Amino acid sequence: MPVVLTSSDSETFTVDKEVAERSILIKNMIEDVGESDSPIPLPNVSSAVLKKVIEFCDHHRNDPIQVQDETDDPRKRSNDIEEWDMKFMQVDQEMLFEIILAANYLDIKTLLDVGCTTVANLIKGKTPEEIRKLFNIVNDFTPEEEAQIKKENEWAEDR
Amino acid sequence: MSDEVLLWILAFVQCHKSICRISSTCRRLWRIAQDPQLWRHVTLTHDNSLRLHWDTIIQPRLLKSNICELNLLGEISSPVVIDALKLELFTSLQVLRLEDIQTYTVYRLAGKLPWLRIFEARRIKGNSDIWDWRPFRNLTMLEELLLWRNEKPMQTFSLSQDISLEVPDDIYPMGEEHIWGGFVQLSSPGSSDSGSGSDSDDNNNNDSDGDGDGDTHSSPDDIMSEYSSQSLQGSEHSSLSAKRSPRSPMMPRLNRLALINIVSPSTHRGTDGVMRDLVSRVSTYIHWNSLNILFPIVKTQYEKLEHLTLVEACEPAWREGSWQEHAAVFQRMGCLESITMINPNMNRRFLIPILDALLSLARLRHIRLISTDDLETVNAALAHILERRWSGRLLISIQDDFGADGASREWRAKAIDRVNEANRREEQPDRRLDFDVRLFRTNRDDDAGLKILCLKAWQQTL
Repeated sequence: MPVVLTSSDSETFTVDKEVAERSILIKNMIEDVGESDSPIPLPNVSSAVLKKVIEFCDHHRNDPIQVQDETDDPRKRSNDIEEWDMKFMQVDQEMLFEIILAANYLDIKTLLDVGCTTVANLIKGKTPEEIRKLFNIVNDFTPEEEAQIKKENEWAEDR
Repeated sequence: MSDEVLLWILAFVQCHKSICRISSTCRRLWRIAQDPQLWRHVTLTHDNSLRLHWDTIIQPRLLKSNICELNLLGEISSPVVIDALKLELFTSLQVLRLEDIQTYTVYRLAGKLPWLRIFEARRIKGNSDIWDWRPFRNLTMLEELLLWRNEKPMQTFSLSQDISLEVPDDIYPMGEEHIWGGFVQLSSPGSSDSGSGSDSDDNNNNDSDGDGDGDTHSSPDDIMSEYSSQSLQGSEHSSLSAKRSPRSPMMPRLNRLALINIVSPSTHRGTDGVMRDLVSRVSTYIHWNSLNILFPIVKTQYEKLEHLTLVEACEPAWREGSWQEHAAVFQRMGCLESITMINPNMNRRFLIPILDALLSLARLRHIRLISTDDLETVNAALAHILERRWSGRLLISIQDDFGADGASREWRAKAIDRVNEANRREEQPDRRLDFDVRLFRTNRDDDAGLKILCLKAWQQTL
């Protein structure tokens, strides 16, 4: 039974139910509404992002579903990403963050984890200045605050 | 992007130096990086910088966040260094992983942190034949324990003379056990002075087996007679043990256990009994050079074991037993679901009966054979498993020879063909073998490579 999804820019995507249900949000919607031909609107996801999300869900359609657990700790999982996922995440930074936001909104835990791991791996080993440059972060500390934080984080700067 | 998602991303960073650097970039990220959740599971490198800032910055922060897990990388050169960290202040700590530490540091921490649930000590220094289990009695909450000593134990140890080891009095700082005064003694068999701390410990340990799961254990009488038959004739063993009141079993909640190079000669009765008791209670056991715990004379109860990993199982002492005795050991593992054998380079006369025993276990669904150097044994094992039409999952991992002579790759291709052919012939689809061969690369140093494999088995990432 196929499911029709509509992106924020009104593009429709027809996908298998099992693929769509990788998203807990969509799964719950289908359960609440019951079987229906009417498209499911996803106003927070653009067609470009939805296309990527569907590609991911299709590739992982047979994986066991991870249940969201409040006590779940990301540290318990390894930082290794499967080769396919790593290639999948080779997108520009804007798309990477869009995918993470979509995964969060659609409640697709595995995609959220892969996205967050990718960003985390980008951050690791970089200096504050390099991180600012990478993500266009504006330094809004006052000089006094900056001096204080520098002192607090001194132990992490020493190599 | 919401704070919640940013926090989730930071949680994946794992390296706390990196989190500090992120917090130095802007106000918002600074605020998010202060979230106690990020400071509950912490990995730090034990270096000069950490020591310098521990009391003023790091420890207060970890105390504030109620730290739950601490992974300390880098060498901790002595118990004095660990004392300076005052880890006993972290009463919320459940998981502690350390590396490159001294044996006494391990004892000391076991004595100080009775609330731990997971304790891993990797690359412990020292190759003494003595492993003192007494401080571990303190760890009543412990569920998982990994002890990995760097060196193989000294095998030159002679039982003809008493060996005693003096350690400073303050090695065991807490609990009733402080009365030991840090004195460990091994007595020679038949010596009238065999009532050393270890022996008595062992008996008390077994005495208290009865609570809850006594049906799977030998009675104290059995244990006693077993000892008598081994080496205690003429000793005052029973009268000494009778003087002590029974205590609860050591580490009563222990469920997963990995022992690498934690060894004593099999005639060291004290340690022998403790290990036997521990192995009889855990569901996961990883073993390498840690006493010949499988040898039948050990009479360990294996009924609870679900996951077993054996590294280079064919120890010299194996050759002392007959194949029937060895097979009988495996036959008793009624709950076993998975077995991993790393370098199972054993003689066919052991391999085949052991495989037969394993393949007859109703619950066994997963066999992993990992070899760094020997295709012949895995080949013989595969042939036998196919012959027996066993239908679980068989995973063979072999050392990739980097294409030097292509032997591993060639073998993989042939093995897969062979299984496919057998599966085609198999008329009942549910009896087909689920088979895979993986190639891997280990450290050039065999020993280090095997330790990494042990660790992966422990972390379930093999």
